Amino acid sequence: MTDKRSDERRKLVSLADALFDDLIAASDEDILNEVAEAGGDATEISDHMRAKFEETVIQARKERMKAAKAGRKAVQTTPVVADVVDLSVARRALKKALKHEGLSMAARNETESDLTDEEVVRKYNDLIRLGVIDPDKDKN
Amino acid sequence: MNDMEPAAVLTRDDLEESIAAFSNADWVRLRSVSQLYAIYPVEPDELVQEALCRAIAGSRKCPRTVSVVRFIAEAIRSIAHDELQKVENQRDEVSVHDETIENLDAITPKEPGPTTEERMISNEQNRGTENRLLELFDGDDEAQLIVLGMLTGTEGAELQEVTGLDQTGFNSKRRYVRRKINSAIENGFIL
Repeated sequence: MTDKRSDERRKLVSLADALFDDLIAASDEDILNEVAEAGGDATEISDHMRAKFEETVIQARKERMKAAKAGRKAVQTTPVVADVVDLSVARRALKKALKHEGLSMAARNETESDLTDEEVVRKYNDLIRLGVIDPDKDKN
Repeated sequence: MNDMEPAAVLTRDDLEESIAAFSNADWVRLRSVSQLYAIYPVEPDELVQEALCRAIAGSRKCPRTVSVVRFIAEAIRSIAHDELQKVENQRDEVSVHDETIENLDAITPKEPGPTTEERMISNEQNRGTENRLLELFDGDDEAQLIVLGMLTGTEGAELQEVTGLDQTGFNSKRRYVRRKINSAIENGFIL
């Protein structure tokens, strides 16, 4: 891009800036008369512009849809990091918790040795959620 | 503008609704604005569409106190200024490239430059745009002075003084200049 071209562009933008306010301030009637005097058809121009607007709206909706899909996909593909539980820690914590006086009779009647590994992990996690087991405390 | 209170700006739905309700005069006005700012090779339609796109995408927020037509017109103006900035940045890179940098591979233009053909068309198109504009006002010294002043950023009282017109006469002449230019563009004049 030459200096001349750039300078010329700057001048033309300056000209447009100087005419901008007049164009915005002109009455609707003047605007429509001007275009008619110049041989233009206001309805045709407006229809063309409206069509461009519709295109833009549709394109924007497509973009939003695409972005939403991409967002959902990102959430779905986020690897689920399972809590890794040391089974011996879970059994020990569960045994201790099952002796806890605040637990229901049914809960206390169960002993951790009757439970499968899977049940131990499930109950261990349940009791963490209930606040009975403090995993940080029971780890040590 | 993006930091404004949400209630102080139009929502996307409000904006879309307002634009969908534009009158013929609103659209013609915006088309005229885009014609003034569409400097070759940018097309008026491109400017309007980009402005609408930015508005709907929400990258520009419309304060409730501003008319939506004016808001879109301002967006067109802003895009034109951005384009100008890009061109000037390209120019800066070219001049550094030519004069001081020895390692040519180190230069990465921000955008690919125009092809030879595009450059030839562009040069031809813009050869004497200023003169062609002045020719529109042959025999009208005051109008030519106003055009020259506007091209060089001279405005208001200073420009009025140069033309020797009173405020009313100056406003009227400036309006005439704008109409004449818009009319010329309507009939194929390319900036």
